Amino acid sequence: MFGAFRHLATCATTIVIAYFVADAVKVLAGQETIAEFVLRVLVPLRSKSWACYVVLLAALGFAARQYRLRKRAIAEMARRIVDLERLLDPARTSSQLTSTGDKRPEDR
Amino acid sequence: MTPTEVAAENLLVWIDLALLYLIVFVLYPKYRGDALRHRLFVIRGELFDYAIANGLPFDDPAYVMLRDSINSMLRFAHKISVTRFLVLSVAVRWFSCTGMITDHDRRWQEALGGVAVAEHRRKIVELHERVLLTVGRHTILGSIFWFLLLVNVAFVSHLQQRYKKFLMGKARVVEFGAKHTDRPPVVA
Repeated sequence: MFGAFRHLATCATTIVIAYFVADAVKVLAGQETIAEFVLRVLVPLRSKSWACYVVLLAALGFAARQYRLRKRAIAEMARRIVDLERLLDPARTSSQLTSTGDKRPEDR
Repeated sequence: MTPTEVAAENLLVWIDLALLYLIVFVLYPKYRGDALRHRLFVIRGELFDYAIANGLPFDDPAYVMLRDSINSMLRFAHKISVTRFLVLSVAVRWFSCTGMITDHDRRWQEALGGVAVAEHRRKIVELHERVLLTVGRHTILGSIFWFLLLVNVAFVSHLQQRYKKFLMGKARVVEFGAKHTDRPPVVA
């Protein structure tokens, strides 16, 4: 039920956004290429705040690298802990997460 | 501004909103879910370490129940939210499932009662409370909407308290003045 509601909300939001974006771009149809439009109009409009975008992209890239590193560390260390705990408790129960500590595909 | 510039400005606003959506509704919840799992793993590890160090049997019903409970929360941590909690609460009442919760509570209390050593019981209760607090904190602070609502309620409540205190102070002054105006002047 939650999944269906979530998908419905996501689809509705995407349609609304697509409608407004299409509306915004419609006026430009046939006037100039995307490259011309970006260089001539978009870049000058955000020229004062370009540093924010650079910092944002750098932060997102850094976070993505950290995330991948953490997942690798979990995958390497978790197996060792499971093996050691199973020596002491052969009936040890598991959380059923993947080796990187993520949810299973069927639990989405 | 030319129509092209207006269109470009509109487009940029939508791009900014899309970035904001990505951070607030995709990346941040993923981080929160991972953080909750990490905290639950720490508690589960502590339970295991305690059992090893203090001779709590791995087949003790209370140990098994608590570990299973933590495992379930770890597995479905990404689905824990205030909205789900509210819907579940309503569904439990509507479909008369309160018996299931009562039954679980009864089995939990029986399992706790069966723990032979008082120190083990105390530790299991403490870890169980930590699990509930961790999940509760995640539920409230994990959602920006509910967090802002909570801050708002706390702020309004604080203001109400301050206002009440202010009124009481003023009333006390009035009361004091009324008392002393009735009295005959003190003759020295």
